[in-house]
Amino acid sequence: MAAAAALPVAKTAPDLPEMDLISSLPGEILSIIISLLPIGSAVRTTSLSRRWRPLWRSSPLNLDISHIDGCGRDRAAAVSKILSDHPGPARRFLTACLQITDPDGWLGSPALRDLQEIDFWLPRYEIPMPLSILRFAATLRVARFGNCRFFEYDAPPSFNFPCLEKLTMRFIFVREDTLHCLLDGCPVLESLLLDRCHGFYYMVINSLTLKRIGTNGGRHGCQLVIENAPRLEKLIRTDLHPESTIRLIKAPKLEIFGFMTDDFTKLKLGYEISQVAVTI
Amino acid sequence: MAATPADASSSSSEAVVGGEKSNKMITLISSDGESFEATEEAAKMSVTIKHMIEDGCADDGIPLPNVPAKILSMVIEYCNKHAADADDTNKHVADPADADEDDDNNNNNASAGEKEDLKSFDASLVAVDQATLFDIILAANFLSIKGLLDLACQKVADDIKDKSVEEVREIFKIENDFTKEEEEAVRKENAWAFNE
Repeated sequence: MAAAAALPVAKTAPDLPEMDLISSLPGEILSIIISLLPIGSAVRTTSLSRRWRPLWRSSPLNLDISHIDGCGRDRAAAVSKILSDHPGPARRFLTACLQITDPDGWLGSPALRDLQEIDFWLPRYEIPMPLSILRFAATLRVARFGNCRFFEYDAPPSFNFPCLEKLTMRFIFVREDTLHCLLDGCPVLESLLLDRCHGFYYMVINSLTLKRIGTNGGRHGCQLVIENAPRLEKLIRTDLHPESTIRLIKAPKLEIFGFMTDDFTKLKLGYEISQVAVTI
Repeated sequence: MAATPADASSSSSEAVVGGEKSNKMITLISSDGESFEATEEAAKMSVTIKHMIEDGCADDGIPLPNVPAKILSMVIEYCNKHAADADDTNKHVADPADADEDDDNNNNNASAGEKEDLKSFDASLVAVDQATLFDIILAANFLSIKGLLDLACQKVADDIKDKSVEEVREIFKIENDFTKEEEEAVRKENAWAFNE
């Protein structure tokens, strides 16, 4: 018959399927897949076919604003549209790159029901963190807050974050008592990062679950006391104020006690050990 | 003065699931009648199987009528590789964004080299044709193996993301059964997403 060289090019690439297999996966699985997509791709699945049209709205919302193209105003408009369109629940809401003009409005949106991961920045440093953030306290696993004053009331609210494993605070003013109330309300916290925060001169760590602590900078010194941290493995402090000190009382698993010069957010370890007083 | 490093012989934080790790072998039977052996520890990565073992239903082998042999062997391979590190595997949703911030979200007991091994093992496990990949997903779902389900679903998501609607339809052979009006309406609903 015909020589092999004359065979026509296959119509479909060898590993593409002959038929539509994906659309016959159960809806709950397609929901998982859609909730792993960046928001633009997730929304576009609505136009694949009739079967796909309702699926995005029934998958947990995964909204990382940095994946939306356009200027700040376009992005804000897209976010408002998404939040009004999606019935919830939500898995992620990451806002770090955007100036939010209506924090309360967005945080109150039904689309964000049962939120598990949040990255929330206020537009101006003097603004208080809205109380409405506590709406997600019961379900948050990962929280990053930035650029605000944190619950500066005479009596701090009761903080109860039963699922929170990772907490990051950047450029935040928080008083000592509020900070300790917050830490007390996080029974499963594993990772704590305080980046250029101030308002507390003394921080006591008493946690059965914390594995990693990082602090970076600050306008004034802070004494960090590791009173009891049986699971603490990494403690990283950078850009120390000259008046900062640390007391290590009980941290039997501590393996890394470092002082980094790199951008702290990457959590890459340097090898300098800072000068501290150590009490064991 | 430098701080003293922690005691190097700190015990690994193994999952306290059913106490000590047994060496017992479990027999798993695929839909086409083939038998596979797995350690109890590996088999228990499947929450479904774990419950069956704990309910005492596993002694004569566990029939898995939904899982063909080809897929079951891959699933067992995954469980064998990951069982040693099952500490927090079932806790988190795998989140690529976390990988930058802290590399020991899961797999707390693995060294850096072992983590690389696991990563490349995982990548090659799901570098298969669509039919196989979807079978893995269905098996992981049926057997309740969260890590494998997340891994395989992430692979599908990676094949979809950042592609145009037309490209996605082509890759997955999805037929566009919208009327022209319907399709326009859908695109208008979220116009911001459709400037392609």
